Amino acid sequence: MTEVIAGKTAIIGIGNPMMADDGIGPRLVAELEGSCPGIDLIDLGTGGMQLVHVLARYDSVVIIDSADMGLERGECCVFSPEEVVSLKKTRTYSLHDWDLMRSIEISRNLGEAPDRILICAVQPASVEMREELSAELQKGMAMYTATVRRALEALEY
Amino acid sequence: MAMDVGIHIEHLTRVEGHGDIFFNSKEGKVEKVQWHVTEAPRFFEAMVRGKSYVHLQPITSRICGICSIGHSLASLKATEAALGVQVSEETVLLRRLALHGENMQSHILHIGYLVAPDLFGVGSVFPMVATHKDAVLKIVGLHRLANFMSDLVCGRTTHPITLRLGGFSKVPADRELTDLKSRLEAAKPVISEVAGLLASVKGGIPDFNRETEYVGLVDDKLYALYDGAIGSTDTGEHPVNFYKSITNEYVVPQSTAKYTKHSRDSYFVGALARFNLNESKLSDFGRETAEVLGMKAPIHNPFMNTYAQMVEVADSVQDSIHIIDELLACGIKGDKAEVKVKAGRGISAVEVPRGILFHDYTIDSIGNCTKANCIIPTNQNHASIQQDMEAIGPSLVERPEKDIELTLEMLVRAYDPCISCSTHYAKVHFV
Repeated sequence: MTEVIAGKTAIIGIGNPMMADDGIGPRLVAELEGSCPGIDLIDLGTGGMQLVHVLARYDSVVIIDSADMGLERGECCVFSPEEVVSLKKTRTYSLHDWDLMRSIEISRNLGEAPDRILICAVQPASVEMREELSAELQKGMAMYTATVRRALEALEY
Repeated sequence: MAMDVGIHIEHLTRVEGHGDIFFNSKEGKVEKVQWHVTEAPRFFEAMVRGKSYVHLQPITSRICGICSIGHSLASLKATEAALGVQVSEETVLLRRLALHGENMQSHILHIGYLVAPDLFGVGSVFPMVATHKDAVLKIVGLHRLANFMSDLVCGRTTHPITLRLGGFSKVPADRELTDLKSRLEAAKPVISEVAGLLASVKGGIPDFNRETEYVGLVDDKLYALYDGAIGSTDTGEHPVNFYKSITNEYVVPQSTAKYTKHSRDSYFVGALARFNLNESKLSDFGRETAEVLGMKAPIHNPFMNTYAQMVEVADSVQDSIHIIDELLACGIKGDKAEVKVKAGRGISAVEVPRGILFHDYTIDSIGNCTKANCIIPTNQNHASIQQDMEAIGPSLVERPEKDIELTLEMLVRAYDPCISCSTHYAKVHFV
């Protein structure tokens, strides 16, 4: 699967693993470790401006993040940045309060963004201070990794 | 006649962490102007109590995601002082290089992403990408270089993994340092251009001066960052071991963070303090950049802290090139000092992007920490922010409310305060 993707490809997990389901991105990146030859797996933590620097290095990326999409708790969805508008209110514009969609927008406006970006997002059930995912998301792990793999395949087209 | 004004800025934007500003005026007189810090205390000093000396640096480096290199170095220096460990000259050079990487990272980020929007009259860095794309590309490029430098020397961009007690777990190869040097050389014209751009918008800096005490590390030869004595523009030099006689921490009702004071009601730490204390030790490139920005010590305008950061970016690049030359001339050996457990107390001071940082550990005979004290720069600046607000307040009462808000926000941002951390998740709507 992965060998046929031209150029440099990465799977980037975003989120804070100490805030329950917010950490689904890094958790899935850890889960995929060793099973995606030729693909860079990146745990970018809470991301922020760092994402702009990382995006500049790749031709294709799948970004995994938790997102409030108005779906059922634990539901997973793959979409391109064009398919959504961000409703997130970045109140403080600090490095601790950054918006994924804005980072992608900056990267594109600077002319550095990968040609192909897909976002694999999971609707959180719980965002609070603890390291474990909610039961809903724990149950969905196999489905999420399969979805990320399908997203990776979709980058070819 | 001045309008009555009541301003409450809850959770000021473009600073790290949470702080509020209150400003009330009636019939042209300021009734209340206050800087509130609302973050919960984090108890790192209690967290390390009972922990082995080997865990002090990995834990305390997590105090800050921006200054994690500085916290690591302060922690390692204090632990090494307690255990009587002497590191090699090579280790000191590599640590200075690590600190320059962090200083550049943090300063560029503050100048480019957090303050520039005020100077260019926009709400955040996002619209600047459209209106000043070339400037943003330069800033992003410099930020990327600083990240590369931290990756190379410290093993990753934040929360370093190569910095260890007695030395480094991995040192860069000669060819990697040569590559870094050529990237730093190539960055100099870019820095000059960004400095020129900052100079062109200097008119947006409020004309406000409040002379105060400036505190930072000083050294006979260097623009002190990694080591030195405590310098004060009021009282001269003091040994680092007497840091408590400088900081004199106290609590105030409106803040969860402690305040500090020394010879006056407040003192200032950070790039402007260092510039005022150490201007004569700047490298040629640092001095040239100061000239481009029209800066000559002493400067008593706190808004100019951002400009002092720009001078330090240039100085860090030049000094890093010099350090790399020294390392290459001697050949990197990967020296590591022997560490033996013994009881003792160690105190350190390191200049991190926002000012002087102190770590103080007491370690028992089996190597466990029995007492710790960390005093971070932002806490040392809270009283100065408050005093500045009180001084500038009366000159603002005739101005429109939006102007008052912006001026007070810019004042706090100039100090580059770093108050805490939070969580993030995206919120989207399908179209």
